[in-house]
Amino acid sequence: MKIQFDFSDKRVLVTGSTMGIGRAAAEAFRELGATVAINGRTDASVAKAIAELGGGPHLVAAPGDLSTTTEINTVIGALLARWDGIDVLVNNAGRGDDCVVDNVTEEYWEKMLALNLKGAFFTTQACIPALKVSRGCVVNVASGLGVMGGPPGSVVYSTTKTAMVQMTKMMALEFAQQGVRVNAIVPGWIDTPMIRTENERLGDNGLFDYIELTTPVGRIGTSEEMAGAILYLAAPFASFTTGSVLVADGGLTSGHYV
Amino acid sequence: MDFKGRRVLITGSTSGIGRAAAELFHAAGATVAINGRSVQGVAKAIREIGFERLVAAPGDVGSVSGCEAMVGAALTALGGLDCLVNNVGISSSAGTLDVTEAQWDELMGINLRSAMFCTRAALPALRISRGNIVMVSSAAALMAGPSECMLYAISKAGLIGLARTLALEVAPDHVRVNCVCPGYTDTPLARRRFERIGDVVAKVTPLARLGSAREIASAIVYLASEDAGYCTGTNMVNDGGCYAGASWGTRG
Repeated sequence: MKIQFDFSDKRVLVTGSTMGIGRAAAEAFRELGATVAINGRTDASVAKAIAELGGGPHLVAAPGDLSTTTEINTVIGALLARWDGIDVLVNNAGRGDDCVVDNVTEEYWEKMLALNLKGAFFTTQACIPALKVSRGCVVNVASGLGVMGGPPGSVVYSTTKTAMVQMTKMMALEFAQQGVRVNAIVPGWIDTPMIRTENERLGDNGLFDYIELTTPVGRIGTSEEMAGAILYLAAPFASFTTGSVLVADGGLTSGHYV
Repeated sequence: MDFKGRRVLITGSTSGIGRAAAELFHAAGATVAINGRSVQGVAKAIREIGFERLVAAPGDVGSVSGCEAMVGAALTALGGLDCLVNNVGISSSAGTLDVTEAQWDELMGINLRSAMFCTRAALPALRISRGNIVMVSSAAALMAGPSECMLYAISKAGLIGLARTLALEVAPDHVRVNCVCPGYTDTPLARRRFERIGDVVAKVTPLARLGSAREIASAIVYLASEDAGYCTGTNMVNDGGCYAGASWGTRG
């Protein structure tokens, strides 16, 4: 097998791909030849992202809120029909957390679980039959907080991401003999709109300073670096890699100074 | 381990691991609140364990309001709390393609959401007592296994994530949070499954037998005790060796 990054003729859906890690992954897949479906909650955000990525026939709009099963079935059903299949699903959509345990309400819990976990499960469920046909793969975007505990206010996020890591392994085993690989990346602190918003909320550049101090490599990661990890797992030459949890975190989860 | 004067609430404690833990805490001197869905089931368990230092805390923790009402009543009856054991759980029976949204919601509600909201309701009392929480997760949370356990495994992994970050969040309050991860255990929940795969347990478990509920209960009681006062955010795996070899199932 030739070791090369080539996604020509591959059909790739990246959920939550109007910004951040999802957007960078979509762009990288596109540059390497794939046809990519861009997903975000609104038509306008998806149209804007597609325009910024250069438009053209290889970028497909797939707007919709993939935290509800009705929209998952609608959006995925339409996409699979349009493409007559799919090769790569990247479950990237998700949101961060800032809610200490005493403030977690039922509404908040359900929203976070739906966005970060349940949506990924049912999106995958909807894609699996087609992925079996294409012998495709799934890449889940988990988190460092899926493998280690996080700071106060991240308890629900940690719950969803740790569950996602195990979902990855379970599905990897379930579909291993049907040619569908399932893997996850574990990003550390990444410079995305999600983290920037949080940094601004906390003020004094506090979060970014904390990230620089605690991440072993001494800096925040980039969305492009996460895209690289995602594309590795989705690449043909990763064909023996399934159930893998690829840590791309600047060293954070292996142990760090505070 | 002495639990005299300690107050313990165990969700799902009329049978199985929760019941065995209730008996062990009780024998060590604790006052234990017994929880189950039916008033009769709770009353029966209390009769069988021995009346004294036992409090009935019936209630369905499958809903958030149920968690709040049950824990609230238990705290009142116990006059505070030293240990919460989030034990309640149901098993799953569908692989990825067959899981329905109703199955997802029911299982995640009981196995995962109940732990969050019982914890939230109990925390003010645990901060006062400098108490602790034990989550009953599973070896199934740590490695892949039979696909029919899909939702069970996802929910139990969620518990580990919840426990780790919660442990860090409440450490300044001197509240500890830990998990036990049982493997194949001889409980009513599991027995139906073992009828079909009894010989599988012997094949995949290095110790070649089921664990007893008592063997898991002792891990829970240890983590809840002062002897484990330096343990927080940790998992204790009691699985007959399965995790060491990363296997708890056979093909087909």
